[in-house]
Parts: sequence; C-alpha cells; structure tokens
Amino acid sequence: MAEQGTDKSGLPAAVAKAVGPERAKIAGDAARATIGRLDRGNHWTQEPAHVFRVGNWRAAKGEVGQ
Amino acid sequence: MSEMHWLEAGEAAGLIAAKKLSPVEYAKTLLARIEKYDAGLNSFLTLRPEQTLADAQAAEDAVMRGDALGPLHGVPFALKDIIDAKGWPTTAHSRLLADNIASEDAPVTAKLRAAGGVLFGKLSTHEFALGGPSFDLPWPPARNAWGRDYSPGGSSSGAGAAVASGFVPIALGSDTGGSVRNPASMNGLLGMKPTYGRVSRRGVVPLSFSLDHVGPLTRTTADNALALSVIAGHDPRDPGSADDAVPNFGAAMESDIKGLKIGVIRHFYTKDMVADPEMAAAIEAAIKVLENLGAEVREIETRPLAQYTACNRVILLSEACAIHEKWLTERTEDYGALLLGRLLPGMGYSGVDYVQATRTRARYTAEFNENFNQLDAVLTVNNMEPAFLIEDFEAGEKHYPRQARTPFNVTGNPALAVPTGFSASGLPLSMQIVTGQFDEAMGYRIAAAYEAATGWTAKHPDLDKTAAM
Repeated sequence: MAEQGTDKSGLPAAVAKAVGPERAKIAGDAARATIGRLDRGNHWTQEPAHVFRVGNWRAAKGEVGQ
Repeated sequence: MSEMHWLEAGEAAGLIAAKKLSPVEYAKTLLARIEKYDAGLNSFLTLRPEQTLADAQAAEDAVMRGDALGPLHGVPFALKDIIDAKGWPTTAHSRLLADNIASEDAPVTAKLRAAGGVLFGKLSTHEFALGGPSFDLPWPPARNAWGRDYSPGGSSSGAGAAVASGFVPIALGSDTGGSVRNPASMNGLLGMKPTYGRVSRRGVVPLSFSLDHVGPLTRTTADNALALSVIAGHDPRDPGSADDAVPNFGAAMESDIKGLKIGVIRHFYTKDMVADPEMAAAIEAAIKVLENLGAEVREIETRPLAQYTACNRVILLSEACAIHEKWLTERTEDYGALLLGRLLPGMGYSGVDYVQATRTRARYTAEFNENFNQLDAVLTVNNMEPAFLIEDFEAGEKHYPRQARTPFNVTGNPALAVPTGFSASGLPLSMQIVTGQFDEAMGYRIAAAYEAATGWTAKHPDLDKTAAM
C-alpha cells in the first residue's frame, strides 16, 4: 500500500484517501461503535474459534499448494 | 398435477422418472414464465435459454433411454451469482467482477448437476453478498414477488424472488449474517443455513471465510431437505468443510414431533429488539401450533442479541476487508455506495479486535450449544419486520440490523427460516428453527409438521396482481 499508517478516522491512510474524508469518518465512527459493543471478556487461555489445522493445507498428491 | 410452475422439486422429479412430465416441456414452461414476469422482478442476472433447453433435452433423452436417474433429474435450479458454474459469469452483482467467467463448477453446482438438475441461470444478489439493494450498479436490484415495490431481502435477493415467483423450485444462496434466511423470510420460503462446514464453500465468492455458509431456498420443507441432501458432504479442498456423514434429511420428516423439547428465545424480539406486532404474534401462534402437535415448548435465555451481532460484525468485516483491501484503494469508484459504506468500518478494526472476536465466538458457541443437552430445537424470530419498500433507503438501513440471524452464523448451528403466515398487508412473516450442530434433520422434522398443520407454504403470489403493489 502506498501510504502507511492510520488516518484520523482510524482507517488506514491509503483507504481514507481513496474513499474521502467523509466516508472515512462515518466508517471510523461505525467501527468504534461496534468495537465498543464487542465482548472482550475472554480468559487469557481462551483459544480462537478457528485455529490453524496443518492438515487442511497439505497439498494433495500431484497438486502444488498455494 | 399442480400448475407446472408450482410443482415441488421432488414431485417433478417423480413425474419425470415416471415419464409423466417432459423435462423439455417443464423447462419451456418455466422459461416462458421468466420471460413474462422477470422484467419486473429482476431476479436473474444471466439466462441462457438455449443451453438450459439443451440440458433439459439431455435429461429427457436419459429418461427415454432408461438410464439411472438422480433425485433431481430434470429439475430446474438457479444459483446466486457468487456461485460458480463452468463457462457462466460470476459477477457478484458488481462492476469489479463484471467480466469474470467461472472456469469450473463449484462443488455445489456439480452436485446439483450430478443429481440431474438443470441450471436455469445466475441470480441477482446484493453486491458481493453485502451491499444492497443498490440502484447504482450495472444491473437493477431484484424485487419482491409478493409486491414489486418491496425488497425481496438479501443478500440472496434473486434467489428469494425467483423461487417465490415459480421460476425455479430450488435456488442456492449464501448466508454470512443471514443472507439465505432474510430473503426466505421476505418471500415466504424455507431457507436453510446449514451447520458451518456441512456444505462446501469452494467456488463461491467469499464474503467472510469463517462465517460463509451455502444453503437452499425452496417453497416447501421437503424440497429444502432434498436440496440439502444433494449439496451436503465433505469437500477435502475446502478447509472449513466438515467430514461428517450426511443423513437422509427427508426421512426425519416422517416422524411426528410429540414429546420434542423446544426452547424459545423471546428476549431477542421482545427486549433486545422489539419486533413488529404481527411478526411477534405469528411466532407466538406458531408456538401454539407446535404445542398442539405435542411438543413441549419453554422459554430460554441466551446472550443479548447485540453481543452476538458485534462479534459477527467484527469477524465478518475484518475478513471481508482482507479480501477487498486492494480493490478498496485501486478501484474505489467501482463499488456501489451501499457496499462501500457497509464494508469500510472493517478497515477500522485492529488485529486484536479480530482475534478477540474469534475467541468470543468460541466461547459463545460452546455456551449456546449447551442448550441442546436438554432441548431438541430452539425457536426465535427471523426478521423483526416484514419487507420494506425497496426505494426507501432509510427503511432499508433500519431493516437490515433488525434481525436475529447473526447469532447462528457466530455459533455455526443450523438455522431454518420457516414461513409463519402473512401480515395484514399481505407480506410474508417468518421464524427460525435452530438445532444442534449437524442436526439439520431435526429442523426439517419440526418444520414439516408445522407446514402440514398450517399450510402457509401452499400460498403463492399472483404475479399479475403483485406487479401493481
């Protein structure tokens, strides 16, 4: 991405520049509102719902893995 | 025989196998209906009548030769335009993929064809299964068969409109935050979001890898069970696919529901959100029907709807933005305004937010599934309101968050949208039957008993009249 870092909206600077400040601000506000409602009460040992299962990514015979 | 366009898929397949229905005549009749009415409904993005008729002719030839026939032999089906069919466009209803042609059938498409199904076309969708109904895209949005001024819901909008209109008996949609069950609700249909992993997602344009489900929309429970039986099963090339045996879903419907224990999550539609009185009254009436059929129904509580919704949103939009990141900066103006507006908040979440949401998801899933130690199924509302006027932007923005479907994308449990009647204005109402992981059969069993007792699914829109609504 050409521009690194975060815009004042909270979106990546390159995305904020591409979509314009008005859309970026609305999106940033919406993101913060959702994050504010996210239940983060996870015990420190809690695993995520989808974990890496190595067997899922084993290429089949004759097939090159991606 | 019913009017040909209202035949159930299973009924049609039986008639075809018995040489009482010609697949070619059946296809011609439905294609003529599409030609007559779809200009006002916009359910199809791509039709190829010559190819469809050639496939129907091949199906007829197989019958006449006495070949072994699959369970959907000669039966029309259609695909949401995010599902690949070899040689057909897969546009996701977006300028971004306007020139995309599928190189292979998605496994679900291949399975429907192998069962004898005849592909009719690719169906309208909210852009990339998220943004819509939109009027700033190369194709217009689908409209509701029960009233063309109304939205058919989404994102599997064309699937809902086409099945309700009698264009095809089976359509496949996708469901990431409710996109099979919403159009099922708004069009008076059965719509199944199966267990996560039950149906392959390969060859389907992704919205959110860990929340995407593919499922059928049909006019009856029996057809839904039949369609799921065909498309379900392990796909070793889909990393989310479950290697779990596929039962005969139809067989479960032969049992009654006496003694089944059913929980009702009322707080979703009476406290967390307040549903339209007609929608709430319809589910209460459905509970009485199920009790009269011998089920034991009791109220249960789970987490507030807003907690599930936040978890769903953070995962969904984070994964969606990972897919769209490059296009968002390089092809920004090719997006419809609604999709752009719905997608962009995902760029404002952090990696930590995303991982927290996936950890929360694991916890909620374990917690919710404890219910099935004591219960056979859980009922709750689907949409909080019936269909909204499609050109009323504010009504649409209000409508989409007012639903109780996302909890079951989070937990991955099967959730079946079931029609519960009609509003005073003639628009369909709906509830959800949610069951234990990989127990879709139980949902079908309860839905079939309810359907037989109420007859809601025997009612169809009169497309000549609804054109004026």
